[in-house]
Amino acid sequence: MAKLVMERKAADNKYLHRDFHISADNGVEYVGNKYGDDGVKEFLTQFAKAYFIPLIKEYKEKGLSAIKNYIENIYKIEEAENAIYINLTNTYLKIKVNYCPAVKYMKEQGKTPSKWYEMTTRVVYAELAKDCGLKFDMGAYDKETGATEYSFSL
Amino acid sequence: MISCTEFVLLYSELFKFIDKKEGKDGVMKYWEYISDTYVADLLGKAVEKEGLKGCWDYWSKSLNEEACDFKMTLDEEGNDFSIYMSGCPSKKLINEHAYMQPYEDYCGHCAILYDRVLRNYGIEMYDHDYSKVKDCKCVEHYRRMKK
Repeated sequence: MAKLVMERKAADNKYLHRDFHISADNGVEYVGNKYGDDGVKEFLTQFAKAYFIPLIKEYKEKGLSAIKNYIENIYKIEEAENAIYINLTNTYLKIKVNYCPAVKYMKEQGKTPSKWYEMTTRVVYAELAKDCGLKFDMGAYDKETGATEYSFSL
Repeated sequence: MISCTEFVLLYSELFKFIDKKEGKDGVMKYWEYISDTYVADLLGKAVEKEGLKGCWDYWSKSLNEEACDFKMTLDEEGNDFSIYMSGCPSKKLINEHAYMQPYEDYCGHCAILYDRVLRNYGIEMYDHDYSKVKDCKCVEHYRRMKK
Protein backbone atom coordinates (compact mmCIF):
# COMPACT_ATOMS: atom_id res chain seq x y z
CA MET A 1 0.00 0.00 0.00
CA ALA A 2 1.27 3.46 -0.91
CA LYS A 3 2.34 5.85 1.78
CA LEU A 4 -0.43 8.29 2.73
CA VAL A 5 0.33 11.91 3.56
CA MET A 6 -2.09 14.60 4.73
CA GLU A 7 -0.94 18.15 5.33
CA ARG A 8 -3.20 20.98 6.49
CA LYS A 9 -2.87 24.55 7.63
CA ALA A 10 -5.10 25.90 10.38
CA ALA A 11 -6.79 28.21 7.86
CA ASP A 12 -7.87 25.22 5.74
CA ASN A 13 -10.60 24.28 8.21
CA LYS A 14 -13.12 25.89 10.55
CA TYR A 15 -12.48 25.23 14.23
CA LEU A 16 -15.62 23.30 15.09
CA HIS A 17 -15.05 19.93 16.69
CA ARG A 18 -18.54 19.11 17.95
CA ASP A 19 -17.35 15.95 19.71
CA PHE A 20 -16.03 18.35 22.35
CA HIS A 21 -19.65 18.71 23.52
CA ILE A 22 -19.57 15.03 24.43
CA SER A 23 -16.19 15.45 26.11
CA ALA A 24 -17.53 18.38 28.12
CA ASP A 25 -20.51 16.37 29.30
CA ASN A 26 -18.25 13.41 30.10
CA GLY A 27 -16.22 15.71 32.36
CA VAL A 28 -19.29 17.12 34.09
CA GLU A 29 -20.70 13.63 34.57
CA TYR A 30 -17.42 12.39 36.05
CA VAL A 31 -17.46 15.20 38.60
CA GLY A 32 -21.17 14.63 39.30
CA ASN A 33 -20.72 10.92 39.93
CA LYS A 34 -17.78 11.56 42.24
CA TYR A 35 -18.71 14.78 44.00
CA GLY A 36 -22.45 15.16 43.46
CA ASP A 37 -24.41 18.28 42.55
CA ASP A 38 -22.30 20.46 44.83
CA GLY A 39 -19.12 19.27 43.13
CA VAL A 40 -20.50 20.10 39.66
CA LYS A 41 -21.56 23.51 40.92
CA GLU A 42 -18.12 24.13 42.40
CA PHE A 43 -16.36 23.04 39.19
CA LEU A 44 -18.55 25.10 36.85
CA THR A 45 -18.40 28.14 39.13
CA GLN A 46 -14.60 27.88 39.09
CA PHE A 47 -14.71 27.78 35.28
CA ALA A 48 -17.07 30.76 35.00
CA LYS A 49 -15.10 32.87 37.48
CA ALA A 50 -11.89 32.30 35.52
CA TYR A 51 -13.21 32.38 31.96
CA PHE A 52 -15.48 35.40 32.10
CA ILE A 53 -12.98 37.91 33.50
CA PRO A 54 -12.71 39.80 30.16
CA LEU A 55 -16.50 39.62 29.56
CA ILE A 56 -17.22 41.06 33.01
CA LYS A 57 -14.83 43.90 32.23
CA GLU A 58 -16.59 44.45 28.92
CA TYR A 59 -19.99 44.43 30.64
CA LYS A 60 -18.81 47.18 32.97
CA GLU A 61 -17.89 49.28 29.93
CA LYS A 62 -20.75 48.48 27.55
CA GLY A 63 -23.59 47.06 29.64
CA LEU A 64 -25.88 44.17 28.75
CA SER A 65 -25.02 44.35 25.05
CA ALA A 66 -21.65 42.80 25.91
CA ILE A 67 -23.37 39.66 27.23
CA LYS A 68 -25.81 39.67 24.34
CA ASN A 69 -22.95 39.78 21.83
CA TYR A 70 -21.13 36.99 23.63
CA ILE A 71 -24.16 34.66 23.62
CA GLU A 72 -25.14 35.57 20.07
CA ASN A 73 -21.61 34.80 18.92
CA ILE A 74 -21.36 31.32 20.43
CA TYR A 75 -24.59 30.29 18.71
CA LYS A 76 -23.25 31.74 15.47
CA ILE A 77 -20.04 29.75 15.86
CA GLU A 78 -22.16 26.65 16.48
CA GLU A 79 -24.05 27.43 13.26
CA ALA A 80 -27.28 27.60 15.25
CA GLU A 81 -28.39 31.24 15.05
CA ASN A 82 -31.97 30.00 14.74
CA ALA A 83 -31.73 28.28 18.11
CA ILE A 84 -32.15 31.48 20.09
CA TYR A 85 -34.35 34.53 20.24
CA ILE A 86 -32.89 37.57 22.00
CA ASN A 87 -34.70 40.47 23.61
CA LEU A 88 -32.47 43.27 24.90
CA THR A 89 -33.66 46.42 26.66
CA ASN A 90 -31.88 48.94 28.88
CA THR A 91 -32.74 46.89 31.95
CA TYR A 92 -32.76 43.25 30.90
CA LEU A 93 -31.51 40.69 28.44
CA LYS A 94 -33.84 37.78 27.80
CA ILE A 95 -32.79 34.71 25.84
CA LYS A 96 -35.23 32.13 24.58
CA VAL A 97 -33.43 28.94 23.58
CA ASN A 98 -35.50 26.91 21.13
CA TYR A 99 -33.02 24.06 21.19
CA CYS A 100 -29.46 23.55 22.34
CA PRO A 101 -27.09 22.64 19.47
CA ALA A 102 -24.89 20.72 21.92
CA VAL A 103 -27.81 18.56 23.07
CA LYS A 104 -28.88 18.10 19.45
CA TYR A 105 -25.40 16.94 18.44
CA MET A 106 -24.99 14.61 21.40
CA LYS A 107 -28.33 12.95 20.70
CA GLU A 108 -27.43 12.58 17.02
CA GLN A 109 -24.35 10.67 18.17
CA GLY A 110 -26.42 8.41 20.40
CA LYS A 111 -25.27 10.10 23.61
CA THR A 112 -27.83 11.08 26.23
CA PRO A 113 -26.61 14.19 28.06
CA SER A 114 -25.99 13.61 31.75
CA LYS A 115 -28.42 14.86 34.36
CA TRP A 116 -25.91 17.58 35.21
CA TYR A 117 -25.64 18.97 31.67
CA GLU A 118 -28.16 21.76 32.17
CA MET A 119 -25.87 23.12 34.89
CA THR A 120 -23.45 24.17 32.13
CA THR A 121 -26.02 26.88 31.44
CA ARG A 122 -27.71 27.37 34.82
CA VAL A 123 -24.59 27.54 36.99
CA VAL A 124 -22.23 29.16 34.49
CA TYR A 125 -24.55 32.05 33.62
CA ALA A 126 -25.67 32.50 37.22
CA GLU A 127 -22.03 33.04 38.15
CA LEU A 128 -21.53 35.42 35.22
CA ALA A 129 -24.54 37.43 36.38
CA LYS A 130 -23.34 37.44 39.99
CA ASP A 131 -19.90 38.69 39.02
CA CYS A 132 -21.51 41.43 36.91
CA GLY A 133 -23.84 42.42 39.76
CA LEU A 134 -26.89 41.28 37.78
CA LYS A 135 -29.91 39.18 38.63
CA PHE A 136 -30.20 35.86 36.78
CA ASP A 137 -33.37 33.84 36.29
CA MET A 138 -33.71 30.62 34.37
CA GLY A 139 -36.94 28.78 33.75
CA ALA A 140 -37.61 25.11 33.13
CA TYR A 141 -35.09 23.17 31.07
CA ASP A 142 -36.22 20.60 28.53
CA LYS A 143 -33.74 17.74 28.80
CA GLU A 144 -34.79 16.37 25.41
CA THR A 145 -33.90 19.50 23.44
CA GLY A 146 -32.10 21.84 25.83
CA ALA A 147 -34.85 24.41 25.27
CA THR A 148 -35.17 26.96 28.06
CA GLU A 149 -35.50 30.67 28.80
CA TYR A 150 -33.23 32.80 30.93
CA SER A 151 -32.60 36.44 31.66
CA PHE A 152 -30.01 38.81 33.03
CA SER A 153 -31.50 41.93 34.60
CA LEU A 154 -30.37 45.03 36.47
CA MET B 1 -24.35 26.38 26.73
CA ILE B 2 -20.63 26.11 26.68
CA SER B 3 -19.61 26.15 23.03
CA CYS B 4 -17.45 23.32 21.73
CA THR B 5 -14.94 26.05 20.87
CA GLU B 6 -14.68 26.83 24.60
CA PHE B 7 -14.31 23.20 25.67
CA VAL B 8 -10.51 23.24 25.93
CA LEU B 9 -10.73 25.94 28.60
CA LEU B 10 -13.35 23.94 30.50
CA TYR B 11 -11.10 20.88 30.24
CA SER B 12 -8.18 22.80 31.72
CA GLU B 13 -10.40 23.91 34.61
CA LEU B 14 -11.54 20.31 35.08
CA PHE B 15 -7.93 19.17 35.46
CA LYS B 16 -7.35 21.98 37.98
CA PHE B 17 -10.50 21.02 39.88
CA ILE B 18 -9.55 17.33 40.11
CA ASP B 19 -5.94 18.18 40.96
CA LYS B 20 -7.12 20.38 43.82
CA LYS B 21 -9.31 17.55 45.16
CA GLU B 22 -7.13 14.51 44.49
CA GLY B 23 -3.70 15.65 43.31
CA LYS B 24 -2.02 14.71 40.03
CA ASP B 25 -2.82 11.02 40.60
CA GLY B 26 -6.50 11.91 40.42
CA VAL B 27 -5.98 13.73 37.14
CA MET B 28 -4.11 10.73 35.74
CA LYS B 29 -6.99 8.49 36.82
CA TYR B 30 -9.41 10.77 34.98
CA TRP B 31 -7.32 10.60 31.82
CA GLU B 32 -7.24 6.80 32.11
CA TYR B 33 -10.99 6.71 32.67
CA ILE B 34 -11.66 8.80 29.56
CA SER B 35 -9.23 6.67 27.57
CA ASP B 36 -10.92 3.44 28.69
CA THR B 37 -14.41 4.69 27.97
CA TYR B 38 -14.82 7.49 25.42
CA VAL B 39 -11.58 7.18 23.43
CA ALA B 40 -11.76 3.39 23.42
CA ASP B 41 -15.18 3.63 21.85
CA LEU B 42 -13.92 5.78 18.95
CA LEU B 43 -10.22 5.19 18.32
CA GLY B 44 -10.40 1.65 19.68
CA LYS B 45 -13.14 0.64 17.28
CA ALA B 46 -11.32 2.30 14.36
CA VAL B 47 -8.08 0.35 14.92
CA GLU B 48 -9.90 -2.87 15.76
CA LYS B 49 -11.37 -2.73 12.28
CA GLU B 50 -8.53 -1.20 10.29
CA GLY B 51 -5.33 -1.66 12.29
CA LEU B 52 -2.80 1.16 11.86
CA LYS B 53 -5.05 2.64 9.16
CA GLY B 54 -7.65 3.15 11.90
CA CYS B 55 -5.30 5.76 13.42
CA TRP B 56 -5.29 7.58 10.10
CA ASP B 57 -9.10 7.48 9.92
CA TYR B 58 -9.59 8.65 13.52
CA TRP B 59 -7.18 11.55 13.39
CA SER B 60 -8.28 12.57 9.87
CA LYS B 61 -11.59 13.59 11.42
CA SER B 62 -10.43 15.15 14.67
CA LEU B 63 -7.38 17.05 13.43
CA ASN B 64 -9.36 18.59 10.56
CA GLU B 65 -12.34 19.50 12.76
CA GLU B 66 -9.95 21.02 15.28
CA ALA B 67 -8.36 23.06 12.46
CA CYS B 68 -4.88 21.89 13.34
CA ASP B 69 -1.74 22.87 11.50
CA PHE B 70 -0.33 19.40 10.89
CA LYS B 71 1.18 16.75 8.72
CA MET B 72 0.14 13.15 9.10
CA THR B 73 1.73 10.14 7.43
CA LEU B 74 0.80 6.48 7.19
CA ASP B 75 3.25 3.88 5.90
CA GLU B 76 1.70 0.49 6.55
CA GLU B 77 4.54 -1.46 4.93
CA GLY B 78 7.08 0.54 6.90
CA ASN B 79 4.93 0.08 10.04
CA ASP B 80 4.63 3.75 10.95
CA PHE B 81 1.86 6.23 11.57
CA SER B 82 3.08 9.70 12.50
CA ILE B 83 1.59 13.04 13.44
CA TYR B 84 3.70 16.18 13.10
CA MET B 85 1.73 18.89 14.89
CA SER B 86 3.04 22.33 14.06
CA GLY B 87 0.10 24.31 15.39
CA CYS B 88 -2.17 22.74 18.00
CA PRO B 89 -5.27 24.95 18.28
CA SER B 90 -6.10 23.61 21.75
CA LYS B 91 -2.74 24.63 23.16
CA LYS B 92 -2.95 27.93 21.27
CA LEU B 93 -6.31 28.62 22.96
CA ILE B 94 -4.81 27.72 26.33
CA ASN B 95 -1.91 30.10 25.71
CA GLU B 96 -4.29 32.88 24.65
CA HIS B 97 -6.15 32.49 27.96
CA ALA B 98 -3.11 32.67 30.20
CA TYR B 99 -5.14 34.91 32.55
CA MET B 100 -7.08 31.76 33.55
CA GLN B 101 -3.85 30.20 34.81
CA PRO B 102 -4.39 27.02 32.79
CA TYR B 103 -3.48 23.57 34.07
CA GLU B 104 0.29 23.30 33.84
CA ASP B 105 0.37 19.81 32.31
CA TYR B 106 -2.59 20.39 30.02
CA CYS B 107 -0.91 18.53 27.14
CA GLY B 108 -0.21 15.53 29.39
CA HIS B 109 -3.58 14.03 28.58
CA CYS B 110 -2.63 13.34 24.94
CA ALA B 111 0.14 10.94 25.92
CA ILE B 112 -2.24 8.91 28.11
CA LEU B 113 -5.51 9.00 26.19
CA TYR B 114 -4.37 7.44 22.93
CA ASP B 115 -1.42 5.14 23.65
CA ARG B 116 -3.37 3.40 26.42
CA VAL B 117 -6.18 2.46 24.01
CA LEU B 118 -3.93 1.54 21.13
CA ARG B 119 -1.88 -0.92 23.20
CA ASN B 120 -5.02 -3.01 23.64
CA TYR B 121 -4.98 -3.48 19.87
CA GLY B 122 -1.25 -4.15 19.44
CA ILE B 123 -0.23 -0.60 18.49
CA GLU B 124 2.20 1.52 20.50
CA MET B 125 3.55 5.04 20.53
CA TYR B 126 7.21 4.17 19.95
CA ASP B 127 8.60 7.69 19.87
CA HIS B 128 7.51 11.24 20.52
CA ASP B 129 8.81 14.77 20.92
CA TYR B 130 6.94 16.87 23.48
CA SER B 131 9.81 19.32 23.99
CA LYS B 132 7.94 22.15 22.20
CA VAL B 133 4.38 21.69 23.46
CA LYS B 134 4.46 25.19 24.94
CA ASP B 135 4.82 26.43 21.36
CA CYS B 136 1.86 24.26 20.26
CA LYS B 137 4.14 21.75 18.52
CA CYS B 138 4.60 18.02 19.08
CA VAL B 139 5.40 14.82 17.22
CA GLU B 140 4.07 11.31 17.82
CA HIS B 141 5.05 8.06 16.10
CA TYR B 142 3.01 4.88 16.35
CA ARG B 143 3.64 1.33 15.10
CA ARG B 144 2.34 -2.19 15.37
CA MET B 145 3.94 -3.93 18.31
CA LYS B 146 6.10 -7.01 17.74
CA LYS B 147 4.21 -10.19 18.60
